[in-house]
Amino acid sequence: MIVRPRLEDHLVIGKYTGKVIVGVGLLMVIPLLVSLGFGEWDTAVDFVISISACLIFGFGTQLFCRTEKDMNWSHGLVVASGAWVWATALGALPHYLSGHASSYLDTLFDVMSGYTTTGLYLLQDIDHIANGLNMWRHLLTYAGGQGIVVIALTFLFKGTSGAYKVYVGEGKDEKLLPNVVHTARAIWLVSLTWLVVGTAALTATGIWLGQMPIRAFFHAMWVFMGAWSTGGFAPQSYNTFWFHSLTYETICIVIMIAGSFNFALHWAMWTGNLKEIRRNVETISMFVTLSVTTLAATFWLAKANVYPDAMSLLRKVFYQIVSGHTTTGFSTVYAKAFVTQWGPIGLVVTTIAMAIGASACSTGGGIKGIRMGIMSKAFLQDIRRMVSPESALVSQKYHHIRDVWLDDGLVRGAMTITVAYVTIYAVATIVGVLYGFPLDQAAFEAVSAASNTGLSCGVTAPTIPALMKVTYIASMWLGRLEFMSVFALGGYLWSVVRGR
Amino acid sequence: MANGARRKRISGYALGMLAESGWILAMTVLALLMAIIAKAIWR
Repeated sequence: MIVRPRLEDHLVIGKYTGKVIVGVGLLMVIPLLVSLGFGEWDTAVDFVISISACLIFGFGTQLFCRTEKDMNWSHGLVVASGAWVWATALGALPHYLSGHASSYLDTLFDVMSGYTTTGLYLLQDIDHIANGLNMWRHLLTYAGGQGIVVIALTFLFKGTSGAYKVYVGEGKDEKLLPNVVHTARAIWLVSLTWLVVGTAALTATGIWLGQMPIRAFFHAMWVFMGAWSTGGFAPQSYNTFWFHSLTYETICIVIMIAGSFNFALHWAMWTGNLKEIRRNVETISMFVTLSVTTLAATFWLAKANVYPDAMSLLRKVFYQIVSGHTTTGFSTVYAKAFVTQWGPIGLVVTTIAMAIGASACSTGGGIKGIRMGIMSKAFLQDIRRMVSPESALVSQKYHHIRDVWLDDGLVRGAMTITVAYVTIYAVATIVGVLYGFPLDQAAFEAVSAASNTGLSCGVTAPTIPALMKVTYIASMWLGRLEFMSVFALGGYLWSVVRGR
Repeated sequence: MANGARRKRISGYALGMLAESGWILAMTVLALLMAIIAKAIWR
């Protein structure tokens, strides 16, 4: 029997969703200040309207849903997934009011793409959008990378015992420190330190390349946010190709890969456990899969003689593969070059890299290194079991911060989520194929959306059918939250309708 | 005493960042080697 949620359940969910939306409204103050600083009055008005909408919704919901009850697991999951929907709907207001989108659906696409750190976009003429809106685009991808809920945990939740449940609901389940609010703050410490160092390095490079200091600074900060959050947004339609600089690209590679690391790995390294990087199952997994995909793409494109020398080959191939594997979505080739120059093998290899994706509890998406590691270890364990005597006890462990013994529950968990990812990749691909796109291009774009990468081979455009846009939005949302909390939200809605 | 602990903590963060960056740059060098070998084969 399905139990209908009680009034108290709705109140708890409403209260905490309201808190998250207040956080989104407060976040919009930063782009508002940028707009005012650059004298972009129309954009500033757009942000004042949007902030007002968020605060009215957020405080109104909290006022309406006053309760002292704390969250249980299902509340936490519903709040996490539901807050992302509301944050997208309200976060899209500045995009819509800017007049750079042809429909509200397009702005929802862009904002979901930002929060989920995907990087696909439908905004038009982005080379000429206001600085304030550019700040918002990149800020929401940076905030989405840490997690909207992590922001709320850091600044608004003040140590509630239910906080951990929302944190897990957002697809992060590592506790860097015993307290979840301290964990959220440690995540911010790592991200903000990298923000300062990365922005400084890119600003210096930009000035050296001839940019005006103020422009170099903002471009550097936005590019950093796109790289670290593995989001892939950049202030120009040519993405990071616009800079034509080996130094800029090398710094971006460092930031992209660092952004794809598990926050638990960062914290272990930062607190003195330097050996962790070469022992951790996720870095080993990434080393293997990144090497294999780079090797395949490098040899294929060298054989096809697409690029004239080794350095060009490195700058094009390694950059796009790193961008795909870390699920960033930065590119230094034209979207159509994936089809016309990279060909089917290049497309497939990049698609595989995107599908595998980054590390768990990072800003990235995809199946994740830890699951690849667990499945590989389980495979090895089965082979060892087959070649060992029947009475032998075959055990297997992997290292992630500490040694963990492999058990059936862990393997089943990894397999379940992997199957869910493969299913969503397949469904989104089929939708693309049904609308007439070739299989390899439909698969590339579908995997790019569902793994929150953002590389495009030219399929994503404002002219694609609305159903494809909705499919990609749902794929981005499901992929980022790793399914469970979205299913919990579906179950909650179902129980409201059919419960007794 | 508190300053010493703080300095130690901050230098730990910096060392951690440097080690992460070093690992990534090593991967980049490996990719460059792959590119050089690939180009040498299909010159």
